Amino acid sequence: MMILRDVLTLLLVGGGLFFMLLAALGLLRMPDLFTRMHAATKSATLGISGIALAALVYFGDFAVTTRVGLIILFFFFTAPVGAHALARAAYTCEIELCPATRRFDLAQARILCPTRGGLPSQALHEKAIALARESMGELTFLYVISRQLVEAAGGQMEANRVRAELETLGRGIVAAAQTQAATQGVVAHGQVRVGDPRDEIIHLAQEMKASLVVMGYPEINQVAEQHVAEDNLWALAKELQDKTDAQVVITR
Amino acid sequence: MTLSHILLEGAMVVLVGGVMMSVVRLLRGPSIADRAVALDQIAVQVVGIVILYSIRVDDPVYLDAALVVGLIGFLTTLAFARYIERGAKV
Repeated sequence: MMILRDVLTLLLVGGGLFFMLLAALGLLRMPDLFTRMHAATKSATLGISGIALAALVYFGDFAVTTRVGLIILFFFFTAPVGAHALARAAYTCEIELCPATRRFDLAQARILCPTRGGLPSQALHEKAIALARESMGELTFLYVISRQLVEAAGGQMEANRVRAELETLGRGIVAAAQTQAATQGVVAHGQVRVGDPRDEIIHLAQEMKASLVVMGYPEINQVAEQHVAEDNLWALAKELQDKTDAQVVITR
Repeated sequence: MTLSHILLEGAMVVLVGGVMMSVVRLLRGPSIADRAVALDQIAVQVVGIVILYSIRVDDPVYLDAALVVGLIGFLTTLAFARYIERGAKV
C-alpha cells in the first residue's frame, strides 16, 4: 500500500516536473515575448497541478486535500489573469514581434488607405505599408477630392479649375505614397476620386472587398475642431464595419 | 534515506534548473515585460519546490507557504503589468 502510494506520488511529480521544465525551457528559448508567455503560463499551470496532486496522493487527508484544491484552483484562475494583464500591457507598448510573425496569414489582406497627404500622413503610410508587407497583401491608396470644396468655388469655370488643381495634387500624393511603398518592396495601387470623402471611402472599400482600412488619426490644432474630427472618424469607422467586411485600423 | 526520498530531491534539483533558466531570461530581458514573465515563472517554480519539500519532509504545513508564494507571484505580475501599461519605457 505504501509502495503504491509512493509510486503514484513519484509518477505525478514526474509528470508535473516535465511540464515545469517545459515552461522554463520555453521561456528561455522562444523568440519573442508573446511566444514566451504562451510557453510559460500554460504548461506551468499544468506542472503545478501535477506536483500538487502528488502532495494530495502522498498525504491523503482532508486538510491537505482542501489546501491542494485551493492551490490548483488558485493557479487555474491567476495564471491566465496575470498573463492577460501582462500581454495587454506589453501590447500597448508595441513590443517587437519575432520577424517570422505573419498577421492575417489565412488570407491575403486587401488594404485600403485613405490619405490626405502631407507630413502627418507619413506615419499612416508607413503603417499601411508595414501591414501590407506582413500580410503579403495588396495595398490601395485613396485620395478623395471633396465635392463640397469644388462646388464652393464660384462659377463653373472656377469649379473646374479647382477640381483640376486638386486632382493634380491628389495624384501627386498618391504617387508619392506608391513610391514609398515600392522602396519597401510593396506594390501599391492608387486612386483619386471626386465626391464626399466618407461615401467614397465606403464605396471603394466595398468595391475592392477590403479586409482592412487603415486611417490616420486627425491632427488638428484647434481644440474645438479636434472633437468634431474625432467624432467623424469614429462614426466613419463604425459605418465601415457595418457596411463592409473590413476591419478598421486607426493609427497616429 | 529511501529511494523515493532521493528521487524527490532529484526532482527539486530539476526545478532549481528551471529557476536557473528563468534567471537567464530575467537577466537577458530584453524588455521589462520579459523580465516580469521570468519573475512570475520563478515564483511558480519556487511553489513547485516548496510542495516537493513538504512531501520530502512529510509535513503538510509547507503547503500554506506554497500558496502564499503563489499569491505573491501573482500580485507581482499584476503590479508589473500596471507599471508597464502606465507608460514605462520598455
